[in-house]
Amino acid sequence: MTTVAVFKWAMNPTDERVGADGAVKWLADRPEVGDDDHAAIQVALDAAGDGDVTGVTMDSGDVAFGAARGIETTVAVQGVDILAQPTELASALANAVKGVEGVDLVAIGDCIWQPMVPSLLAGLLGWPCINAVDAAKREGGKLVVTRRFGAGTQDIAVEGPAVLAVAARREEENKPGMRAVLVARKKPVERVGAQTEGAATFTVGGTHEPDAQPSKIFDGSDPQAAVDQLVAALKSEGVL
Amino acid sequence: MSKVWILVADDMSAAHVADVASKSGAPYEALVFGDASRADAVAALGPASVTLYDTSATLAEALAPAIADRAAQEQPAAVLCSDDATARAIAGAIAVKLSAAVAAAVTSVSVSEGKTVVERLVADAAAVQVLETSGPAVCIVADGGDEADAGAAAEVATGSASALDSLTVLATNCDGCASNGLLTAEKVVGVGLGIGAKENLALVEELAAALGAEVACTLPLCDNYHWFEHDRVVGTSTQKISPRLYLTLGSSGAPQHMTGVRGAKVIVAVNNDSEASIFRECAYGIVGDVKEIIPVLTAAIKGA
Repeated sequence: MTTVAVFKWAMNPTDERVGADGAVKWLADRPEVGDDDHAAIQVALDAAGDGDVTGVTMDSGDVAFGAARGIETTVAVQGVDILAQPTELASALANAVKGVEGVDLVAIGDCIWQPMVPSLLAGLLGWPCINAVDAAKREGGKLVVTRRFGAGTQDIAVEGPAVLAVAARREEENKPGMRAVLVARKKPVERVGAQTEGAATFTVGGTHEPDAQPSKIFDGSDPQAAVDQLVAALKSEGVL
Repeated sequence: MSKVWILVADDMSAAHVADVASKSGAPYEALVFGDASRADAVAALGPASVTLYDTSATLAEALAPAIADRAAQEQPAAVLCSDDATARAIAGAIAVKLSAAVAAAVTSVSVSEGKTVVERLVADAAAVQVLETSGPAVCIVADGGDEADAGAAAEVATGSASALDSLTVLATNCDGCASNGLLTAEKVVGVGLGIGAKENLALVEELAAALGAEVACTLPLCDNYHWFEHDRVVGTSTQKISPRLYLTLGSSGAPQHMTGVRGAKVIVAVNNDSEASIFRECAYGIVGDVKEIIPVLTAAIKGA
């Protein structure tokens, strides 16, 4: 059986802007590697055991990110709009996963910016989804998934296909070296067109400013004065 | 008549999600995953109905296909939930079953016959985008904001749904969770990387003691620096807290952390970087050196 690791599929939210015309724009025109992607790949490798792992990514930028971390083949999805909505992203990924033979597990980053894409992907594949996953391992033919659960963790036995949305606890500690990166760029990449037909989407209207009240900021160059103002404000709020 | 569903699988976010639902213009029904106490708390918010799916013996995620089937029968115009991991897993199955449009960071939903209008935060909450659909919508409600007032308590019905047998809970590991006072604390002092050296934690402890507050931290201080136990971390996929006062020291306001604290009534930040995003999210802030501010603040609180 094959495990799929999905990486570099979401835009970087720090690139999101609202133009003078009120339209949402992106400073970069392509998805970037996400904070959780390295952890998703590791979970896929751990879950696969001796099985194959195939990468699925958007066809832009570093498509060899997965190959540099142990993935042998990568499928790169072409033609996903940078303004794609969650349903379109999930549809493109689901169709790419369906094109990989014998897939029974998908690991994908539990991206804070796109919190619904993993579960939509699972729904489109007809599989259950477990979010906030820490780790996965094979134990006696079963896949045991550890996920965050409140202030603790929970171990779940998964006996069948599933989508695991992986949330990294820390930055990648052992990044591949230049040699591994260069070798990775020679590994095979299959390019497929995005299929998003039928995905339900919103009609995008305009934008307006949020109603939120601005923060009240005190200058701390005079600590006593700043603290006096803060304490007075908190007393008036009734929280001191 | 159109109706709205809310999915509740945690104890922190129901009142906020219910507030958005109660302002949608359509009656809302609650589907609660957990135990009777969670269902009773949701029922007190005044939904039209509450269905409790008891997950003491099964995984809520394993109920997702059955809940999606119920959605297909009842056709809610909108389904709302927080970004709780379990609620999202169920919402995804519903969205696919209903062929619903999906949005995150949603601040309001307006349902009228034949049209649903959704507002969502974009560009790091610098603007609100308006979305429309003539079909069903599934929305992840943005953290923070108002909470629903208590209403006429709804009766709690017990739901039955067939669960997938491919998912089984083996163990729940929660050493020390029961003694963790963060979840119920009225005041919490949060610590970020900007606190500097580990010795400065003594200043934090003294401030927390003066306030009568619990101490929380961002993830790197636990996982990378090992200065705190994991049960002190608040943020994405760890804990969400909703104290009356959250005072954060040396935190930049990374979204992964802010997700866990937006339920606080008043957020106060101290940071030496005036451009830090925390200053766009807090009610009050001091731009200054935390090591200089904390002792002065501690003395002021002791004298208050």
